[in-house]
Amino acid sequence: MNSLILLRDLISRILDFAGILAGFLVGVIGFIVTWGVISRYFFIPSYWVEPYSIYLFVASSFLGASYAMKKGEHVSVDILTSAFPPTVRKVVDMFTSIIALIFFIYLTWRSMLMVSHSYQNGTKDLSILEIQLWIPQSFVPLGSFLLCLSLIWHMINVLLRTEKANPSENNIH
Amino acid sequence: MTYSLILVLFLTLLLLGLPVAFTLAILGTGILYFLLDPQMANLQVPQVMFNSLDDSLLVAIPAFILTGQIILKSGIGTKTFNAADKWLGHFPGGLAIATVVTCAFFASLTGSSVATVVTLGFIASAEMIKYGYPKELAYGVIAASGTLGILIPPSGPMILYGAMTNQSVSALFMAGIIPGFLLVLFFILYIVLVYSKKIPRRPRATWAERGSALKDVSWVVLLPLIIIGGIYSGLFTVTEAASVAFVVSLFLGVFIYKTIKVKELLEILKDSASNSGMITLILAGALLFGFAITIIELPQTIQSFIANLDVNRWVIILIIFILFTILGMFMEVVSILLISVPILYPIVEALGFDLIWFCIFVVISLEMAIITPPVGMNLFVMMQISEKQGNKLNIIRMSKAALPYLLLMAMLVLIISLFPALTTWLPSIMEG
Repeated sequence: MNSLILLRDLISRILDFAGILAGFLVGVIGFIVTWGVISRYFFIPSYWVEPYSIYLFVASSFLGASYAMKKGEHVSVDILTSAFPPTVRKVVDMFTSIIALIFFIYLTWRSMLMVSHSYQNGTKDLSILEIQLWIPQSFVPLGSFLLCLSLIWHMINVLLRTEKANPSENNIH
Repeated sequence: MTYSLILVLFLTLLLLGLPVAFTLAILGTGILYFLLDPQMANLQVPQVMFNSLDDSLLVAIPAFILTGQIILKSGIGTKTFNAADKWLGHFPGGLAIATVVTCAFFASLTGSSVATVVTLGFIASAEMIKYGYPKELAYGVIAASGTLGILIPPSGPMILYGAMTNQSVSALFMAGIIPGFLLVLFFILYIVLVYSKKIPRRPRATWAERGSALKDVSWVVLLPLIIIGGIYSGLFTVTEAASVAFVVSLFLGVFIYKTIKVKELLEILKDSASNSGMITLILAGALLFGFAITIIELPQTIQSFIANLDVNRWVIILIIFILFTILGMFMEVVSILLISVPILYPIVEALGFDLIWFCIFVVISLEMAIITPPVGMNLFVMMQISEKQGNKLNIIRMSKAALPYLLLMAMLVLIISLFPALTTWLPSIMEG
């Protein structure tokens, strides 16, 4: 059990860091887009603003999505599951988490292939900056990998919650 | 056969509690992988997930969320209510009118109806009940007015709608203004007509009181002016307006109102990133799902099915309205929007409806979802508030309290259907 708790706490730290990074990026986006508006009126070239803001947004979205999983913010329909008895709910929760985990492992793997393909071909984006496309694309595998971690974190929590249901542990206050 | 299997799988996964974003992405991938070609899924799934977010318009989403979070934490909600009360409180039903106006203003800026109701609900309902307003009016009007935020710009759901249908979000924002103000007006008229004789009127505030209350909030009024004015005049894109609003609200929070500390700012940034990541992941999933069902020709099949039915096109709109009402009973706004619009908009467009008009139609229908039981978020928040204040309303009484406003929203849907120009006129005269 201890190794599970260690793993959970390690993932928890990684996801917190992802959250801080995503928050930082979101703030930066706000400032650079505002800078784009100001500089336009003073004829300062700011063609870099649009592609950079988009790619930072892609990064913040995938990082933020994994952090949202940790905060339990991803919206779901609980009208049926809330009526289940606790044990059934746990089993269902594990089942859906495993489906999601399989998907995000698939997405991590396939998006890594997409990135390496863009890297080998030297594909560039359509902006004037001609940014190497593999750079912004790498946030898809990174984000999916973090989502895998967040699902593992969630599953460990569900498992440990079962342990807590023991009457002996309920006495600790 | 295949279509019904997809529908059954979709509903099963959703009802088992798999997050909406995951359900859409998994089902979209499943369709591509198993019904078409595994090789195609392998190549397209990561591409679509990336490309769906590779859009400068979407950058507006985190920026507006940030602005909203800062406004929420800066404590100007109560100040705005105070100012509205000083100016409108002496009218018949004045406190309720002030509540409608404050909620509309606050909800449009924060983009969150729940956050608006949480922030203003307690103080506004406590004031109203203290002055002898009926409980049903006090709690009902707040739950309903909180929903106005997604119709009055800036509106997150409109950005998502624009991204999915390739409509100009500036135009959509403009389209929401007249219906938004009409709805505010309907709410006010309802309060005055039904309650003015039943509740005591309050003395008029002095001009000095009014002046100082207005001074407290004068800076905040800047924000909607920047956003709407900037977009209307063609000065900013939607994304730029959102970012400028963020920088201005941060400036207000840190230097003018001095309510935002550096430590809180980190929390605000993290919360916004997580909220924005949650929404954009649903969007990516919805676009992947939309991509997959278009390839297997699901919308086209529904389209030709409808064409064969040979019914009046308004019957289809009525069916869609009923569908939204049903979905609204157990899902929240963003999910309904992102699941339904990719399927519906080609159908509606083929029937000859204006997609800007349809957006407003969808948004008002979604507003209704926020106050429909059993899963109307605003109803729950108001129920909790009523319990804290010792006037506990159960879900049935709370739903009844919100019902008049629900009917007014339905009436607005009817009015914009009869007079579509109410939605399309402002976008048509917009510059740029």
